[in-house]
Amino acid sequence: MSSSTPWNANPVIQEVTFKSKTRQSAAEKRRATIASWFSLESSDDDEGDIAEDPIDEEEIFDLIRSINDPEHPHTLESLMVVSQKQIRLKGNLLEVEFTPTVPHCGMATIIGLCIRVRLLRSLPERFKVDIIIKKGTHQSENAVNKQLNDKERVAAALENPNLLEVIEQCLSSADA
Amino acid sequence: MAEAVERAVGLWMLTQSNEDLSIINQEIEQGSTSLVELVKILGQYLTAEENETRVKGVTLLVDVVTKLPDTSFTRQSTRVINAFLITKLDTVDEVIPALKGLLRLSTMSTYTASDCKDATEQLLKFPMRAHVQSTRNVVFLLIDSFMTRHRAALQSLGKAFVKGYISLAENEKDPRNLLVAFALDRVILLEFEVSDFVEQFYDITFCYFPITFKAPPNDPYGVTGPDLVAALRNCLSASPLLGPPGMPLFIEKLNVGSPATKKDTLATVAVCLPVYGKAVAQTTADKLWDGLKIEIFQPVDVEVQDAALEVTKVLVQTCHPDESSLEGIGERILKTCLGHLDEPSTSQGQIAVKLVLALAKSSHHIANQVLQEVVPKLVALYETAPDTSVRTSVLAALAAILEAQEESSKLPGTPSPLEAYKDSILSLFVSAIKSTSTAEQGLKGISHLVRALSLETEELNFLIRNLTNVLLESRTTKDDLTPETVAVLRTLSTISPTAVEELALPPLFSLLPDKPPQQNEPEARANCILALVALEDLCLHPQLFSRLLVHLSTKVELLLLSSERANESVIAYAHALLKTVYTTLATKSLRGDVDIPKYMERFVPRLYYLFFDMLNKVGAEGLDGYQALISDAADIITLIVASSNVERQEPWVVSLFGAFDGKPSSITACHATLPDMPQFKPLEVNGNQAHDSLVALFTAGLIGLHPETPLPVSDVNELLASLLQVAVTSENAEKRKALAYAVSSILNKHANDCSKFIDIALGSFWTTRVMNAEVTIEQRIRGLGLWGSAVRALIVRNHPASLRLARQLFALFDDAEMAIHAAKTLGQLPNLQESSLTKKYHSVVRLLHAQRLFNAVIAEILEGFSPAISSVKSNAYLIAVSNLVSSVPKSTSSQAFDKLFPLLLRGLELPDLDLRSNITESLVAVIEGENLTNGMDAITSHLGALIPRLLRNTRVDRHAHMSMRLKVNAIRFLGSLAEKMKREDVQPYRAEVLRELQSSLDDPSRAVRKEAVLARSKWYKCGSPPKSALEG
Repeated sequence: MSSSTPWNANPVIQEVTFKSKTRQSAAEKRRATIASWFSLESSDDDEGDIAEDPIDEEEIFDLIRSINDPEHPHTLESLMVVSQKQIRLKGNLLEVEFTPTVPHCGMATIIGLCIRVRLLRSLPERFKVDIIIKKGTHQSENAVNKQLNDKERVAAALENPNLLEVIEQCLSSADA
Repeated sequence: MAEAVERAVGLWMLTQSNEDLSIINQEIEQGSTSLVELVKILGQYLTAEENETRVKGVTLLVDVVTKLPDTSFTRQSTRVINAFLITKLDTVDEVIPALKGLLRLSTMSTYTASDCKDATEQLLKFPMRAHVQSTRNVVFLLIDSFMTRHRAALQSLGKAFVKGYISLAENEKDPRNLLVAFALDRVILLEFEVSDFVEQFYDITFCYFPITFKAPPNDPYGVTGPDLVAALRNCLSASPLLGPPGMPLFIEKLNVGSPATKKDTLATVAVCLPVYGKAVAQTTADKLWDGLKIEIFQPVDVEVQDAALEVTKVLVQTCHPDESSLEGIGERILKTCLGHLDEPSTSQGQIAVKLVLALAKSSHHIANQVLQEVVPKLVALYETAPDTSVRTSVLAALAAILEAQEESSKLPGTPSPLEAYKDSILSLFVSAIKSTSTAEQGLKGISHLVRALSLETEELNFLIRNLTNVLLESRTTKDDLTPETVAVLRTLSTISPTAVEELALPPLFSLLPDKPPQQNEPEARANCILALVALEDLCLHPQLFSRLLVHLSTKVELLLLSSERANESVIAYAHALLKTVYTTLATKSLRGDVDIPKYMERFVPRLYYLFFDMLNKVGAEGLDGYQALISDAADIITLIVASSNVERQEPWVVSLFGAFDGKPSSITACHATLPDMPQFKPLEVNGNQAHDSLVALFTAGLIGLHPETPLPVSDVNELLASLLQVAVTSENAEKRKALAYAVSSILNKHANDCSKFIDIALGSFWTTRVMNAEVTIEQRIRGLGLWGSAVRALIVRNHPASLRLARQLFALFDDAEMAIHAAKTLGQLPNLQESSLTKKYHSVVRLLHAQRLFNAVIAEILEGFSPAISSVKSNAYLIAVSNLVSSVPKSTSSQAFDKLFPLLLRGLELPDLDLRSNITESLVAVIEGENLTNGMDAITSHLGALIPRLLRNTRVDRHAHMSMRLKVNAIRFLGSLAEKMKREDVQPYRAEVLRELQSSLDDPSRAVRKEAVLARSKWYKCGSPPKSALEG
């Protein structure tokens, strides 16, 4: 899989210094605490449990952002292969779009499969997930899309132990 | 006497027994015979025709010599034996003992340079190849010994020595010998005339590079690969003469070697280059850089890349040692950098930044020249950048460069090369923080800039104004950068507090209105929140804090004293303001700021005055609605009192006790006048209930006292007894809590003077208030709580009576109504979270107090627990254990984990969710802890019971209180099982766990879902190579 010449030797890297969300939530929490002073509530209460907090685009992005690229030691987020804007959620219908770094990237299918497996393992069964390549960013866009969204084909691909090993390798960083 | 020696020699020749040897040694040591005499006696053997006898003779002589102390040698005997042993060096059989003998002789003070010279001349002819490695080892050790003690003698031998040594060292392969040889090589290269032998030295050193030796297991000599590598590196870097032949070899190894070889080569070159010098470096620079470039821009791994960057730095440093231009290799490298920096957002561009940083670290003048090229280029790129990814990359690059300059800017007299670009960088960063997409990087850059460069007053003001604007505008942006912005302002406040005070604080203060913001004014409220978020984080500098305190407390006073009775919105606003003061103060106290104690006189009396004044105004109604404010004030007071020393506290505590005994003015006298309030005696039974809520302020002024601060009472025992009495008879829960804290704190700090209270008052309190079945249950529970907080004060200081008192609680375990409460009290005794007993408040907290109680109580519970006991009692035991486990440090509870595990397992089925949460939390702590050893077996043997119970706990109804914590912990523990247990033990449960956890993926709470994803990932990993990625 990892041939000596990568499909894209010099990809653009976006610096993911620290998850903006963690930082964001710390700042939000601080604000919420101070806001609670104005309503004379004690803020240490964990009563927030009961509030509904449905699965949203951000949470789905969190699931896939740290997946490793098959040929670079970078995450899909830092290579800008996936982004939160490219996730569309409507009820139980989910569409995840991704952008290969170069139009001839031979890794596109593997990347798609990684996202597929990650979501199959991490989302409730009620979701119907479509994984597609961003329009016009890959020369064999249709073929790859077909492969990624056909149940039988996905299952067949995952029977291949070598392929599965590559996918597991890419997913090993996903929980980071 | 000589006969005894003669006899012993004769016997030894027959038997070689150690006994005879020691007889000979004894004789010589005692001086009854001499070494020369011994040689004479041995004469017949040493010159015998028969080979075997001769060898024996020499061996005996050497054995004697090796065991004798230095004092037994004379100059004469040393010389004789040396001369004799030298003659044996060209023999076949006697050479081994001869070498050992020489090694011993060489360490003697009677051994002279001429002895050494004689021996060396012979030794240099030694036929190394004909001998085994252990013999060769003695040769090397002998030369090493000469080198240490008679270096001048060896040097006087001139070229003959060097030449002879080279032939000895040639072709050596034994790692143990090489270690000695490398050390010798280095000394010879450094201190001998070797210019005629460069090629030979190159041969006997570079032929070993790179060393890939791995020590065999159980190597008796303990020579390791890294030892050899280090020794060789030392000798390769010993002489500049090795440079010309050596560098081409290094370059070759760098180009074709394995990653390990590359790493070794790079590390070695980094050491060698400075020694080889400018001329060598310059001639090989181009070829070396060609190799380095590959390792830097297409790295095998980060380590190799870092090593290559380091070598690049050394190369440039060596080639351009003086202030001259970078013409040559420096220029070439810089060009490569600049080329890649055209696209700063690509991975090559980002590597080029690393290279710039490496170059900038080399020397001041190189940094100057490199940054002169790089910085203007980056600035220009930023201005013409087509998209944000380039701009953020430029910002990140500049931030990294500034960060690297922070170190060097601390050296006086070396202005940073960046000073020249200060203006353009500063305006670039300031423009960056105005746009949301680049604000974060811009702030990061500024935070490095203010540390790396010195700013003029005007530049500082410019920055502070802009940062303040960013803060004020953060209301409208989505990405909240308040903490980052405030952090930069805070750094600036240490440089120029006055500028920050004058420019940043007023706009923030103006966001705080005089009247409380109402529910229907969301914008006013948002402004307040923004201001408080920023202020509490910003005002840590003494000057800023003082200003904050004055501003906020004045506002609070105006709010509360302007109207007759405050409504809820006024109280909420005042609460927010006081809370801000407190959180700021708490941060300052954590930092160890020294300006806190002065507020003892400046601020604490003002707070008391505020509440006494309000009490006077509201009259009989009391301050019922003001609890929040009272507890804020209490927090502030406690913190300030605790930070003060005994001298400050002593007068303070006198006025405190006076104030709560009818004379409030005794505290506030210096601040403003208050009328005497003779009825204000909240610390007496049957005091006015309207005054009850202010008891919290009494406690606040008290619990931060040092144990050494004397209390203004005649007898502490009486004080404690009366406070306890007032507490138990009060109907006001706040008052009871405050008094419990006060009792706990006083008893803890003055326990040595309280034996009367402990033995008598506490005992009778137990019988009349807790055990007494005639009082109502409610009263008994109240009594139990108070009693518990007194006992806790003794437990934490390991008081001798504490364990006896704690055990008393078991007496209630049969009492159906009290059992649960007693069990909970027992389990919570070591829990100091909800108490005044912390080091911060100068309480006496002894090491291992929790462990002591834990061990005693657990022993008793394990002994008492049996299927035969009543359900009330067994339930009480479970509750006590569950509470204990979660209230002692995890290291303590995990020690007894194996014994407790069956009980905890049962605890997972208790109805109380809170307890189950605690148990799962403790389980998580154990399994994620470091020494799991004793828990492993317990968990493994109970897996069958444990996993279904945990799975049941992941399905708790979400509306139940604390359900989220329970679920999160249960799932987390399940995940850790897959990670920590042996694969074959958990695998049977894999399918079940994966299936069951699927429903948690759809849990309404995000935290639970996140944990479920993680746990499932771990269980997927622990599968045997699965047939399909989705099974389970």
